[in-house]
Amino acid sequence: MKKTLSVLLLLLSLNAFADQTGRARYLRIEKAEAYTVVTVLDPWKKGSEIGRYVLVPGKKQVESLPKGQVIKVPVSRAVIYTSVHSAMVEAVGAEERIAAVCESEYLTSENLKKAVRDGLIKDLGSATTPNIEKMLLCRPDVILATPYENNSSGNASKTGAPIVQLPDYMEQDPLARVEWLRFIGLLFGAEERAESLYREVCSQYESLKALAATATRRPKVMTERKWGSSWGVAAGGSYIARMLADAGADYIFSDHPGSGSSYASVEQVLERGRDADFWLLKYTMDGGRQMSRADLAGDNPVYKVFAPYQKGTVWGCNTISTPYYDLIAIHPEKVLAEFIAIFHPELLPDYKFLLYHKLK
Amino acid sequence: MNKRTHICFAALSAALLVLFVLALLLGPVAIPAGEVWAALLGKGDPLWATIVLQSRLPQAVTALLAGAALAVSGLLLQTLFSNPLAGPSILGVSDGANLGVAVVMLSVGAGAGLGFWLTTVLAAMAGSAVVLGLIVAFARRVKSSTMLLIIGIMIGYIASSLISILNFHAAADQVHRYVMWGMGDFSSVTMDRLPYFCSFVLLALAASLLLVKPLDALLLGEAYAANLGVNVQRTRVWIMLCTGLMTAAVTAFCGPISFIGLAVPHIARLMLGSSNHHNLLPVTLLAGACLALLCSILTCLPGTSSVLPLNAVTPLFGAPVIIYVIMNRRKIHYFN
Amino acid sequence: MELVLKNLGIGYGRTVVQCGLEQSLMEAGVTSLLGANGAGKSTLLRTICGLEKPLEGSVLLDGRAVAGMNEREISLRIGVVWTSRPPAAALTVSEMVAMGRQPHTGFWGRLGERDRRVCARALEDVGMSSKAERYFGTLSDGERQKVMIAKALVQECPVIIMDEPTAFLDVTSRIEIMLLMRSIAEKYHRSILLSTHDLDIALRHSHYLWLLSSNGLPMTAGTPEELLSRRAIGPYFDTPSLVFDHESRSFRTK
Repeated sequence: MKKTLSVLLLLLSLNAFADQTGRARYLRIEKAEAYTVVTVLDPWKKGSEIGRYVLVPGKKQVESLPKGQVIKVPVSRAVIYTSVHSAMVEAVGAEERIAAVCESEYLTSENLKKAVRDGLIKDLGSATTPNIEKMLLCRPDVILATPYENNSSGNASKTGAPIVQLPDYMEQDPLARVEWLRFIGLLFGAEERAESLYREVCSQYESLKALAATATRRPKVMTERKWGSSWGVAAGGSYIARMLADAGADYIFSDHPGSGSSYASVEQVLERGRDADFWLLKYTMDGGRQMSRADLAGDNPVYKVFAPYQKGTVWGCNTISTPYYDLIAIHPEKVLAEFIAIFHPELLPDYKFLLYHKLK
Repeated sequence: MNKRTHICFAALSAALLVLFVLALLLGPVAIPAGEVWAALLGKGDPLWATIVLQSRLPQAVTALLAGAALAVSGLLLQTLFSNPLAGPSILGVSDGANLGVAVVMLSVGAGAGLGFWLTTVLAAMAGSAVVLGLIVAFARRVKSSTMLLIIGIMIGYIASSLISILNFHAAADQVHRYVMWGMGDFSSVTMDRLPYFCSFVLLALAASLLLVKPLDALLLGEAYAANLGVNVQRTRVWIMLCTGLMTAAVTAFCGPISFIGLAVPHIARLMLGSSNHHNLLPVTLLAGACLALLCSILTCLPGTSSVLPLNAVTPLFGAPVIIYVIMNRRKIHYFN
Repeated sequence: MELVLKNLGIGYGRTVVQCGLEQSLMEAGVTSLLGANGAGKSTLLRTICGLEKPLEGSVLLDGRAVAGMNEREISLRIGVVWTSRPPAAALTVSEMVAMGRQPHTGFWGRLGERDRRVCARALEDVGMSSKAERYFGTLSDGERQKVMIAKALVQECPVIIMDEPTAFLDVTSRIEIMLLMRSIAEKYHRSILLSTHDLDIALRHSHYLWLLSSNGLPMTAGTPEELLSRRAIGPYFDTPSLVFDHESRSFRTK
């Protein structure tokens, strides 16, 4: 009895320092009694870290802290560079703790946009060169930035606030990206909300995935359009490719090397996609307008050669007037539902589309 | 015609044929040669046929004509301004065409289809005509060729500035389309736009060929040319019209393409060893077509998945030629 | 072909350089146009060729005003040789000379049998036959001017105008060119008008002289002997320190 108890205790204590994350590849959360260590790994350099953050609950005074940047949590005045991260903070209910954002025109939430208009959230301008003076005036206690390969977050270090780098967009598993909500929750004192949101998203996603697996056909899908002289495609290892597979479709470039965005030649797309069943594409159009088939053909007449164009099964998403990027990051199950409703409408008969529309 | 000239014509014609065939045979997707031939005859696998007829054939024809047009434009400008470093890009003529395209794509608004493309071409023509007019006006007052080139570069900068401002105020999808166009691309002329492109370019090329005699006279300078019976003012206008139309058509349909207009006339002169336009103009035309086809092939080699931007490849050929010419100008006979 | 200046006023913009010029160009001979700088020699030559418009009066070719002719008509009547070299081009000597046939060839400028013969003979006349296939840019200054003269010759124009054709040449080349022009004038019955600063060579080898003044004197013309015996030359060139001696035909200090 004593042995099992001590083994249990041992296991529990080990667990206390063990990694609490399941899916996220670049995120490690290790909870201790008095603090939490969050490690952000470098997606571009295997084995190295972008940042190590030691989150300490505000009131406590702790003596021996492990190595890492100390952040007093919960934070109350955050500067957020990317609109998706702002949406994540809002998703866990901590939006009053946002002090400033960059490029507020990309925010999708009406709440947040109103807060910017009312001056409660400041707009610091361009994300690559934010207005440092305005940032200083906000007296931030944390800065949430998005790292790119070989890029720094400007002069934000002048504020003295800890800079947290969030490369969540590099996750290849769509659910892994959602797990980053846990980090947000820890920072903003909304752990439980983040946890429950994460679990709910995961379970919804899995059940939708199971539903899609019951479909009888696997339609062939092509994506996006010409970019310059190449065709911009999602590589086989990217999260879009996985989601298309999870939605019960056969993505024409599922074997394309890489795990992010990539390129293919027009010839390759013609070879594989000419007789595709569906064509999904994202576009930008101001004023909430919707792209039509005539617009697509006018863009480049070669698009008329593809079967989806001729059969009228081209679906587009206007990323300016829809919350596409937010949903991909926080609610991929909703995007999965869109895909399933497109490919297997019989499985979700009363579905109302949030993002995609059929091109007329 | 002497032996050297004969060899030039024969070699270039052969090269053109070979390159055209290669452009049809080679591409990112491997298609057997027999299938390519079948596709051209209207038979064979419909999938291969689609690739050959909708992608490779129009791209090859476009490259051929665009290369010829740009090279001849460069030659015309070099003779008109007696300046071996003149060319559509350097003198700002391409920038003028760019500005015309930008005005249509970024401000006139969304449009699609053939009518839109034709409007774009006309705007590009107007843009290059304006710039050419400015350059010629300056040429009357500025005697130094180098200074004139610098004025051309400055005008190019002004045009680029205006384009940036238009970009700033334009809607997202307009900017997207403009940026796509700016990458320089022979594949943007699809089968149904091809007849228009061909008409514009062939018309201007034919008109240029008719200018052979006055162009030769201009080699001696305007005073001598006038005495040989050339109406210099009218010739200037014709040269401007041809260059303007060719540069505008190529720029509007394929985006800005650098270096072919500047370097190919030099390649032609070095091959022929002569500035006599009777031979120089046709050789320039052939050489331009060959070079453009070669660059087009190199941008989408078999086995590669993405396509190199055209403007990444052309300077690799063009710049060394110019450097060679400058370094060897004492030995080269068409320099002072 | 008679070339006549009739009450001709020349200049540019509002500046009148010379006015009231009345002269007739000597046929089948070499006339040298002399005068100090600023007298308007180049302007006069350019007006005669039709490159500048007369400010008043006219230049008449067989009774027709040059100002009213188009380039093609002028090209068949007046040939020119300028001072400076043409812009460099990779042309051979024979190609350069062949340019002179442009007024006579068809739309494409192709040379026929006769064109080739005329060019060959012109090259012989100027003594450049052996260098026919050399690049123009490899010639010396004197040789280049000879080629340009050959070009003017093949144009088969009754009148040839030359603006300081010997300016950059050495002294023996200058004399050669003058002798060449004399023989062309006599052999081909051409009326040649050339401007020069070389008073000495002009006096020795021209058939006729035109003198322009930069200080208000009217234009004077005559054969060298006439002008010397009339002591007419001095007033056009004398400076406060130098005087022209009509006996010795040279300048001496006062």
